[in-house]
Amino acid sequence: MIDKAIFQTSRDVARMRLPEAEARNSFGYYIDIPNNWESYRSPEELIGWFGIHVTHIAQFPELTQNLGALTPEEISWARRYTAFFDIASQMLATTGVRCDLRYDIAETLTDWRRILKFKQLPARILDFGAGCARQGVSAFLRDPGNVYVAVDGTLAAYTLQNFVFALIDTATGGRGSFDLLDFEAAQAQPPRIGEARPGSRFHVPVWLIEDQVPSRFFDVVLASHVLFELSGYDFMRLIHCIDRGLADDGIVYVRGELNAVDPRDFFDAIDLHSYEIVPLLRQRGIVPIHCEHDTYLTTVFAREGSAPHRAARARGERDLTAAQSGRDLVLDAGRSFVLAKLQQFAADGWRAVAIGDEGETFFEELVRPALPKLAAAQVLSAAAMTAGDADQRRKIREFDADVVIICSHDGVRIQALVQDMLGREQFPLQLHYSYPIFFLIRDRRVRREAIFDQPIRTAADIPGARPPRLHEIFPEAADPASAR
Amino acid sequence: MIQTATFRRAKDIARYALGPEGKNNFVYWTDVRREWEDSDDSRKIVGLIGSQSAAAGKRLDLRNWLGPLHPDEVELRGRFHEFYSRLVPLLTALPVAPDIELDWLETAVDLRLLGGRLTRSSRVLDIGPGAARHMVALALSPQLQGLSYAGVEAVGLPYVFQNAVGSELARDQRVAFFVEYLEHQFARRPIALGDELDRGAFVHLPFWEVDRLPEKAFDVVLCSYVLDEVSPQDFVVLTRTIDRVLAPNGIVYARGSQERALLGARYLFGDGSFHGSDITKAFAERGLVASECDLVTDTLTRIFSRSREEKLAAEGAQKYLALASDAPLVDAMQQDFLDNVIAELGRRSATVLIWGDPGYALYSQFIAPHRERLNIVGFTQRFAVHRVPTPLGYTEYPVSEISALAPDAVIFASPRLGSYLRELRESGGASGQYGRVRHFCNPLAVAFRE
Repeated sequence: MIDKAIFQTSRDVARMRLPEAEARNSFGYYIDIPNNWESYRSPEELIGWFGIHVTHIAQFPELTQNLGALTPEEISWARRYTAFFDIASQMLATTGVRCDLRYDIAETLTDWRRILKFKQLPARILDFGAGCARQGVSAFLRDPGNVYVAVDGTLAAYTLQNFVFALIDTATGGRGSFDLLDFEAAQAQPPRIGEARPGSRFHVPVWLIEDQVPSRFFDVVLASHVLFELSGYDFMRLIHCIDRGLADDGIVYVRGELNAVDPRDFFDAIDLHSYEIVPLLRQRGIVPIHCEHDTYLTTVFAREGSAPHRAARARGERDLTAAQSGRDLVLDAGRSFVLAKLQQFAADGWRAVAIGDEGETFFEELVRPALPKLAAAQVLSAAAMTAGDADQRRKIREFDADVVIICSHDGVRIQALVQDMLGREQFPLQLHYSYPIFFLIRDRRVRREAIFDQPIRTAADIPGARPPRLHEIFPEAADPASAR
Repeated sequence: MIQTATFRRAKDIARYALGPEGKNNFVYWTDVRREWEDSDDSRKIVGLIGSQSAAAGKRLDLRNWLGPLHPDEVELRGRFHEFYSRLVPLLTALPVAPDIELDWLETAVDLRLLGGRLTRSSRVLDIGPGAARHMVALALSPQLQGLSYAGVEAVGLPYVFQNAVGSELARDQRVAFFVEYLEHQFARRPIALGDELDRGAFVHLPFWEVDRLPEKAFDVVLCSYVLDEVSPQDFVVLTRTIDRVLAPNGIVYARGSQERALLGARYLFGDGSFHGSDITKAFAERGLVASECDLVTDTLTRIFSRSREEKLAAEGAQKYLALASDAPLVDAMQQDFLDNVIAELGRRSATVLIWGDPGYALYSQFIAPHRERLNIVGFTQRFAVHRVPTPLGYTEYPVSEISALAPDAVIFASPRLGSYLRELRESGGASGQYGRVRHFCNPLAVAFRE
């Protein structure tokens, strides 16, 4: 395991080379204001980070609704993923503590459904802000021939990534992991990432990555929930890594918002950076080729004119090449989200109550034209709703809708009124993105894979075959030899 | 001298016995970033001066409240400044300009309010001494020579700072003895704190060692800007300790940091975490009730004792004594604060800008009932882009245009006071203006143009 003192000293050395302000705001988890990722006191505390996506618990119903049914391969993946982190937890602390992994499982499955549409495995993957290395585990659970590089600047994350890499080595019987801090501390020459053999894993602190990124090497660069969680300095390090490291036909997968709406005094504590990834990558010839709201905004970039860019156009993806800013993509994704949902409601034969005002632009352009395609639809006035019109309210109650569509700039208030009237438990799922259009989904229409109904702490929590043993978790590599 | 590494080791040892939850003990709970635990930059520790009690925006109000200083206060002020000016170069060789005067003003208010309760024979317990301003003032006051003092601290940099203060006071023979508990702990030398206090010592110890303080020994317990800034676990220990060590006729002087109960579960790091306990009730459960309670320079200031015999409160403040829990007390004070501020704006015929959040819900709740008494010239909020009329009957201006309005005062009706105040001071070359800020408890504050 990486020693805490080695990590902190290496980081201190790197920071001392920087000007004061840059040093203070570099190489850490910038929005972790309480410094939780820097202040663990026992190995047991580290286990909790394996399930860090519990922080997105409010989005879990939407996430699992969007995932829908899992394939047998995905169920197998989830069982092996859980078995791996169960063993990792046991090795970290023998107290029996486990975290609930279902949020991370749902989020990671969502990521890889999308990534695999653009890039097949094995691939050379750079994961910037790798958390507990879930993406690396995910990739090797699918294919042993990947090259995976995890980059981080945070003590707890880096410690876990190092541990996870070592456990993958143990599980696969290979010696494919290389931690650059080990080499730095030993004053030894590290292996070159650009010469990595299939099945290798490299672990690099943020302060060393810019010197280590091979030119035009990576098929996939991952920046998942990371853009505005970094300081401006570290964000620009990410941009430099993408610029240099993205292969000619590689993709950049970004999960999370693309522009900061209110960067000042985040939680009254820090200023977020307001750099925009879209123009910064555009200046480097890298453009968005896909953008959608899938619980979170999810964007894929590629070099302009590259194979993924051409393929996306050939598949009929919307042409986002001209987007100049994150806002352009947000608006596009918002519109697509609304239209896709309305299309889905029509295809599934849903009954809808639509609350909006005649003449209101969004209502007239997006919602009203879709209503005749639904199984049944009733239009009610937003103004009357807020005025407390009893007749309107009676109509809503009697209609027995599968979805209530609210189209109003006063949507939050109307939503509360509707939920109070119809019962929050009957409309447990709320969907909304960017546009002032809200969908309240009836409980009978809410779907999710059964494994997500209960906490997933060990592989036994996922029905099916017996939990795999450590050596059964990862698929076998044709050549498990190391990169050296 | 104690270093932060020594202090941290002692804290780790104390916490280890408490298991996983130990991390929530012995912390500056509202310092969410734990920025006062340690620093490699020697300027940071000097930054304790002028930052641990009253906000700088209250400087003028503190001066006004004090009025002309008495001759002995003038003398003490000089000694106070001289001491800190001499101490600072011991802590850093870098050029720094700490706000000593702000700490002096706040300390002078404390000493006035405590009045004759402090004598040469008093024993004082100071919980969370911060920049040790009470330790310094009590040691340097000729009228209080012989008084004994105990300072209890849970946080790294303040602890080191207080240790340096105590050491310097002893070196300069301002106190007869300075006793540092941690030195004795690591030297394996037993120490009886009661005996040390008996001989007039100034003693210093970490919060986790409070059980070593003698029972019923302290005439005055100081809780300055501390009561709602400790963790839930520490608050329990704190109240239990006060109950145990307070002399039968002793008092607890509590000023500042008692209003977070009104913030509820609001989650902004700028306000810090809140332990969630009702301070008034917790004291009452220990038999301690407020005998004085008032807003002094817009800061909740109370004196608790075991009985209400000392009904020395100002006539107008008597009503607060009847309120038996935090929320109604702070709410009543917030109403009075607002009424007082609006009266001042009226007296000045001040032009007023309202700065709120989109929708101005807090304006409607708190300020709108008083709008006839105000000369409102406009509204603004961070996301305003164009000059537009609002349903509230006033024009909304983008922030970029407010410097042209040059309002005499800006009323903030938002929990994001710190952020908006910063934006106000940065906007349109207004930097340096609006230095005076009247504020009791979020979400209301008023900045006055100088």
